[in-house]
Amino acid sequence: MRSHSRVLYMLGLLGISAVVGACAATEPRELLDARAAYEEASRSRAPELSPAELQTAKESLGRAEFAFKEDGNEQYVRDLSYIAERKAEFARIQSKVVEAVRMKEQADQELLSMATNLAETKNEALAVEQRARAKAEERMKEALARLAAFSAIKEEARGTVITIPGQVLFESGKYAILRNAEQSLNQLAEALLEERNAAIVIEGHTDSQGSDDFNRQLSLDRATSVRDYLLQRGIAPDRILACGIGEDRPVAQNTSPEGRANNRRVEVVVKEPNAKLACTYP
Amino acid sequence: MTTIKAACLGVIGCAAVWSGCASTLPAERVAAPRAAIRAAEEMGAYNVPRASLHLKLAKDQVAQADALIRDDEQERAAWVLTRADADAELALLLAREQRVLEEAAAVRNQIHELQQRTTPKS
Repeated sequence: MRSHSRVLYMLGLLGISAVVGACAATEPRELLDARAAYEEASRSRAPELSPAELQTAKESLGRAEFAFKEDGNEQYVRDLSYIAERKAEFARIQSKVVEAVRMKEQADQELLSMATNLAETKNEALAVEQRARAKAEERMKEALARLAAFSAIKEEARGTVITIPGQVLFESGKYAILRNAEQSLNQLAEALLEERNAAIVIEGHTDSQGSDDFNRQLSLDRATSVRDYLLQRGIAPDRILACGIGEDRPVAQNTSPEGRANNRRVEVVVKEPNAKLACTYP
Repeated sequence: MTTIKAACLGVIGCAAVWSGCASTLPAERVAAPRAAIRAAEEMGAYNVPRASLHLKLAKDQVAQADALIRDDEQERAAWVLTRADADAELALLLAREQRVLEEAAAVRNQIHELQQRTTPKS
C-alpha cells in the first residue's frame, strides 16, 4: 500500500498522473476493511445461517469495488466501503444470532420436557404411595382380624387396646414367653409394624393373689418379655415402653377364678404417632 | 464518475437528492437511522461494548448529517445518514445477539438447577 502511494506520488511529480488515472489510485482503508469483513463473514456460518444477509453484503461490497475501479479513492467510494463493511459484519453477527436463537429454543424444549417428566414422576410417586398406603391398611385389618382370634381389641381414649390373656403367653408365676404364644406375638408384631409410627405401651397386669411387690415385679417382667420379643421382630425400641401395673387395674372381680383369669393379662396400647410414652394416665 | 455515483446513490435510496430536482432529503431517509438508534438503545446496546461503539458512531453521524443539512449539503448528508443507518442496524443486532445469549443462559441455568434438585445426593 505504502509503495503504491509512493509510486503515485512520483508519477505526480513527473506530471503523468493523468495517464495512470484512477486505476492506480490508493485503495482506501475502508475498502480493505470491507473486504476483510466480507472474507470473515464468508468463513463464518453466515452462508448456512444468514445467506440473505450475506448476499446483501456481497452486493454492497461489489458496489464499493466497482465504484473504486471507476472513480478511485473518492469520498463516496469510502462511504460505500464503510457501509459494505457494516453489512458484512451484520451478516456474520446475524448467523450468530440465528445460532443463539436455536440454542435457546433447544434449551426451552429441554426444560419443558424436564418439567413434564418431573410432573409425571411426581404423579407416579403419589400413586405408588397411595397404593402402598391402601395395601398397608388392608394388611393391618387382616393382622387385627388374626389378633382378634386370641385377644380382645378395643378402642379407648388412651388408644387401641389389644388385650392378651395371661395364660396365652406365660406359665403361672413365670415371665418367659411360651413357645406356643410365639405365633400370636408374631402376628401382633406384624400388625404393629404396619402402624409405622405409632407409640406402643405394653402393660403387664396380675390378679390380686400374692404380694403387691411380687405382682408388680412379675407384671413388669412379663411386659418386658413381650417388649423384648417385639423388638426382635423389628419394632423400633424408642416407640415401645414396658410397664408393670401389678394388681392395681383389675378388669374383673378377683373373687372368682374366671375374674382372676381375666385380670391376668397383657395390654398392648397402640397410640397416635409421637404420643408420649408413659405408664400412668392423667 | 457522475453516472456511477448517481447509480450508487440510487441503490442506497437517495437518487432524488442526486438528481437535483429535490433540494431536501425525504423524511424517511432522515428518520431511518434515528429509528434504528432508538431500537438499539431499547435493546440495551449501551451495555454491550461493541454495540455501544456502533451506536455512538451512528449518533455522531446523525448529528453530522443534521449539520450538513443545515448547511444545505444534502448529498453529503444523504451519504452520512446511510453510514449512520448501517451502524445503528449493526448496533441493534449486536445488542439482540447479547440478549438472546443471556436468555439462553438463563434457561440453561434453570435446567441445571432442576437437575441439581432432582438428582439424589449420594
